[in-house]
Order: sequence, then structure tokens, then C-alpha cells
Amino acid sequence: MAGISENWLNLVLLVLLTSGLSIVYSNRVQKALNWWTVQTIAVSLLILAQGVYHDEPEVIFVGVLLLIGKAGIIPILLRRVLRESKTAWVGEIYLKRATSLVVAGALTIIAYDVTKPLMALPQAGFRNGLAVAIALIFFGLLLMMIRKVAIVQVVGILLIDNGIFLAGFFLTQGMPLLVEMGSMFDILVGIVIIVILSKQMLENYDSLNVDHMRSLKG
Amino acid sequence: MFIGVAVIAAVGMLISAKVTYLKLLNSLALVLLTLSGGWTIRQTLLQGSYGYGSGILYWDALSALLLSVIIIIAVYVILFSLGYMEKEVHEKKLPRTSLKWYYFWIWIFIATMLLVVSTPNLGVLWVGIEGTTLATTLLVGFYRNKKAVEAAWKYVILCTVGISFALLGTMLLFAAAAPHLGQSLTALDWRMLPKIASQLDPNLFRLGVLFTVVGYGTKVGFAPMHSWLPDAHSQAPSPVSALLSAVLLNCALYAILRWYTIARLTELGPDFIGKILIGFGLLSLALMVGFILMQKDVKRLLAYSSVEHMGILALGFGLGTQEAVWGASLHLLLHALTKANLFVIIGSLVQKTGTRQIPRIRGIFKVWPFTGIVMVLGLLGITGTPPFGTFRSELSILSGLYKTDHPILGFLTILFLTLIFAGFLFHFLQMFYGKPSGRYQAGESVSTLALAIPLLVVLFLGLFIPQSLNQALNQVVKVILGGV
Repeated sequence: MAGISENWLNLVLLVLLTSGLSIVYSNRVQKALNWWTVQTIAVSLLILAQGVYHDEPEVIFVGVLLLIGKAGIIPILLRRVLRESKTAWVGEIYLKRATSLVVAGALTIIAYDVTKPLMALPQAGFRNGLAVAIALIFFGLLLMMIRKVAIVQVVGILLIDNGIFLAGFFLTQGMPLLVEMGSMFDILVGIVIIVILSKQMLENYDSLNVDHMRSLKG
Repeated sequence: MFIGVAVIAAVGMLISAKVTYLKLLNSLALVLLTLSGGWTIRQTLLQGSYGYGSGILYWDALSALLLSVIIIIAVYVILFSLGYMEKEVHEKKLPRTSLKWYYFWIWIFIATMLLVVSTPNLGVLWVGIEGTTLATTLLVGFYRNKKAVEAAWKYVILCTVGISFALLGTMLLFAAAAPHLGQSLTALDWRMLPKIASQLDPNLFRLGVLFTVVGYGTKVGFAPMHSWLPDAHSQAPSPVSALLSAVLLNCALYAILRWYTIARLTELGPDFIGKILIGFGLLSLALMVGFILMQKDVKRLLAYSSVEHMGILALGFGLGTQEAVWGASLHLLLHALTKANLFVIIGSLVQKTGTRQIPRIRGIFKVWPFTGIVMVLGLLGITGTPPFGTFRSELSILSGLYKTDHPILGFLTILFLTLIFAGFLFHFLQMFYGKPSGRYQAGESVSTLALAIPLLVVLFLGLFIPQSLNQALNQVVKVILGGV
């Protein structure tokens, strides 16, 4: 991480964390999706900066793929489903927005605590990065539990995915290219399949509310 | 080679949905798959290991075991599919054109599983496992009705999250191994990792193992992460349920086993990951007892039984003694054969009766005696009744439990297995006898009996294990217990 100065890194991490919190606090699905897009762009810029500084074409390649594939295509696909379903509200169950923000704050602190034992290993500058990455994973899980609109759950998965990608970046300075590309391909295909499924859900239930889907039990 | 066959076959399926075309193409693909796969398995077992394309693809005895399971079940299930799906189309449950997509996804599914067992790289293996989730999602939701969509949604959401934990685990392993093996693909190579296992940072690795076992464990269907499994298995078309249960779960377990072989050699020692597996195994067994006893849906019954058997496998592998691992390896093969057979026969039963509800299926022996006979064999096979092979493998695992001084675990396992046996017997006897509903169309051909071939193999293996199979199993045990 010697590439980017500590200040810049902290700024990017701030963007990542705020966008994560904003996703949790969003009252409209569209807003959550927009914040996720902002976050993904920030992640890919971080990767690109790293790649350019160290002059590693592989890393630059991953960054570009991330920018086009994830920050570009995925929001377009999901927006289309949203428009079709006319869903706007995120569907708060269990926790209201304000409460969930408090919970997310607590999760951030836990994330810092959890990553403590790993701090001795890589360079000190990664501490914040790894903690923020774990926090994003927690936010994603939280979002999936406390919201009932299908697309918000997908945003939850995408948030987890960003968190894991970041964790990988801070832990290992990038996985082997083959694995990066494979996992990115998987998430893209996954989103396409989820979009197809949400359309089938709309045909059957006429809404994206996962609360309707409670018939399979026992 | 065979991965290519599967991918080309998948694309080829999209061209036409005509009956003869699908039959011809599927048979051709199956023959090629069997030949190339069989040759690879043979080479692997003869030489101990076998590489292709300077080690991009690589097999040892453990991969060969999984490879044979995939190929055998694929052949059996696809041959059954050809007739079964035609009937579904005939009964207007599905449009004819959808068959194209059915076979497309089935073959993509098979290709991803072949990739999982053919790569020597834990990162690529992750990509393959995630690929299996994606390939099967639309198959699970193939009927597109409310319940099918619900099952597919739960499946894709839960498994994607689970699998992403496994990715995090893989990254932690990479972080631990990169200082020793370099920042390249080699650092995730299961041929290289055992050699440096003792130098891996235990903190990173411990966290990595936890994430990975929970992640892939979701896919294996370990309790308490199993909740997607009965939904997906009961809503998917029956041949797909057979594939999911008999091969997909094993592939995910295979991923855990690769980690297991490495974890045994690290500073954490064999006990660490062994105890995790035993814990998951016992919990899966214990929780399934209730679900199986109270079950009303016959396909869900089989699904819960899969969770149970994955629990037995986890117990056997987790124990880590020669005998238990041998039993578990045999059980992996036998469970796949038995469960595929059961899903196939129950699938055709459900097709005939039009219901999955056990209380509404009565008098099978009066109406369809041949189906009844196959089901009796299935009942005895899946519950591990002697002289079926499953009895032999379960006994081997149980005796492993007692020999390693775990009498209480042994007692609990036997107790759970007995209760599950009682549950199965209760449900199946109800379906065998009683007054058949008037709507049933009696009559079936003797060829139904041919469906029982896998079960007859299981029966045979309970009485006699050929030398060659025993040698192969011993090789598998060596791979799992001794590193590469």
C-alpha cells in the first residue's frame, strides 16, 4: 500500500464506510443502489491507483473490469427490475432506519475488534482497511436480515461482495488474476440469474416482497 | 477434455428441442463423457495421480472417486431424464421449448462439477463451486410456479452468501501461504500447500478454515445451514433433485476435504478441523431425526435424509482414522448411488400419483408392484440395512467412533440412525399398503425394474468388495490422511 499516501487511503476508506452506512440508512431501494455504485467506483479507483503506482498491468486490468463489470452493468440490470416492479420502499422489518444505523455503528466497532488478532501480520496501514472491509460484510448481512424487498437483499449480497473483495485486497494485495476474474464472472452471472428470478417472482407474486414466500416449511 | 465435452454438449442442446435430436445428442455426449472420464480415472488410479496440460488439470485418487461418482450419476440421471421430461411435456406441465434450457443448464451444471474435481487450485475450485450454484438456480425454479421461485430464491441467496464466506476463507489461506509460495496461483495449489502447511500462520489459517467450512458447509447442507436444501430438492424436477443430492453435495464436501488434508498438517493439528467436522456431522444427524419422523412430503423426506448422510460422512472423515475414512469414502459412493436411485423412483412415483404428500399415496404394491419393489430396495439401502453396502460403510464409521474412544458419540449416532430408520419404515410402509385412490392409472412396464441397477450395485458391494475398488479406496484414504 506504499503506493497511496496514508491520507488518501483514509479518505477512500471514509467514502467506503459512509457509503456502507448510507446503504443501511436508505429508505428507497434506488438510493441504496446508488450508494452501492458510488462505493464500487471508489473500490475500483483504489485498485486502479494501486496498479498504476506499482505499474502492475494485472492489477490495472482487475480495476478496469471492476469499474465496467460491477459498477457499470450490475446497477443497470437491477434498476430495470426496480422500474418494472415499481418498488420504491426498502421494506423495513424488525429495525427502523435510525435503529439500524445505530446497529451498523456497533458492528463497525465489532469489526475493528475482530480484526485485532490479524493486525500483527501485514503492514500497519492495513488495519483500517481490513476493519472497514469486515464492517461492510457485517452491513451486508444486517441488510439481508432486516429488509424484505428482494432487491435490497441483493444489494446486501453485493455489499458483502465488496467487503470480501476489499478484505482480499488488504490481506493479499490482490488474489491471482484467474481467481479474481473467475469470482467477478460468477457475481455477474449471479446477478443476471437473480434478475431473471426476480422477474419470475413478479409474474407469480406481483411484488418483490420476500415476505410472501413462506409456503415451504418443515 | 470431458469438461469441454460437457460445455459443447450444453451449447448443442440449445439448437433444437426435438425428441430424437435431444436423445441422440445426450447419448453421444454421455458416451464421450464416460470414455474420456473413464480413461482419466483409470490413468489416475494406475499411476497414483495424473496431470493434463502441464498440471492445469490434475487428479489424484480422491478426485478420481468424485469424478466416477459424477459420471455414473450423470449417465443414470440423464438417461432417466429423457423419458421423464418427455412425460412432463406430454402432461403440459412444461412447454417443449423449455427442454432446450433444461438440458443446457444440466450440462453446464455437470461441467462446473467436473471443473471442481479437476482443478488442483483452491481458488479455481471456489469459482467452480459458485458456478454450480448459478447453474442449478434456474433448474431448481424450473417449474416457475410460486413454490419453485421461492425455493430458487432461497437457494441462490443463502448459497451465494455461504460461498462468499468460503472466498474470504480462501483469501485468508492465500495471505498465509503467499509469503512461502509467492504471490501466484501456486499459493493456492493443493499439491504444494501440504509441503509448507507447518509454516502457515496459524491465526490466519484458523480463521480461514472456519470461514471455509461454514461457507462450503452451507452448500453441503450441514445443519444448521441446511434450510435451503429441502426446499430446493423438493421443488426441482426429480432428475435435478437426484443430481443435487447425489453429486452436488459431495462436490462441496470434496472442497472441504481438500482443506481438511491441508489443515491436518498445520500447527493446529488434525484435531482442530476434525472436531469441527464431527460437530457439524452430529448436529446434522440429530436435527434431521425430527424432520424425518414428522415429514409429510416424500421428496422433502429424501432431502432431509441427504443432510443426514452428509452428517455421517462428516463424522467419518472428521474422525480421521484409517477405518473411518475408508468407510466414509465408500459411503460417499454408496450414498450417491442409493439417493440418485431413490429420487428417480420417487420422481416417477410422484409423476404417476400427481402428489408429493405421503398421506395421499397409498397402495403402491397393488397398483405398481415393480415400483414397489424398487422402493423396498431403496428403503433398505438408504437406511443402511444389512446386507446393503451402506450398512458396511456406516458400520466402519461407527466402529471408528468406538475405537477412538468416543462411546457416547457412537451411542448417539446409533440412536439417531435407528430413529431415522423407524421414520423411513413408517412412511414407506404407509405408502406401500392401504387402499389406492381410484384416480391412479394402473399398469407399468417391467422395465421399471431396470431403474434399480444402482441399488443392486449397492447391495452387491455390501456382500463383496472387488480388489480393485478396495485398492482405490485405500488410495483415497492415503490422500486424505497423508497429504499428497
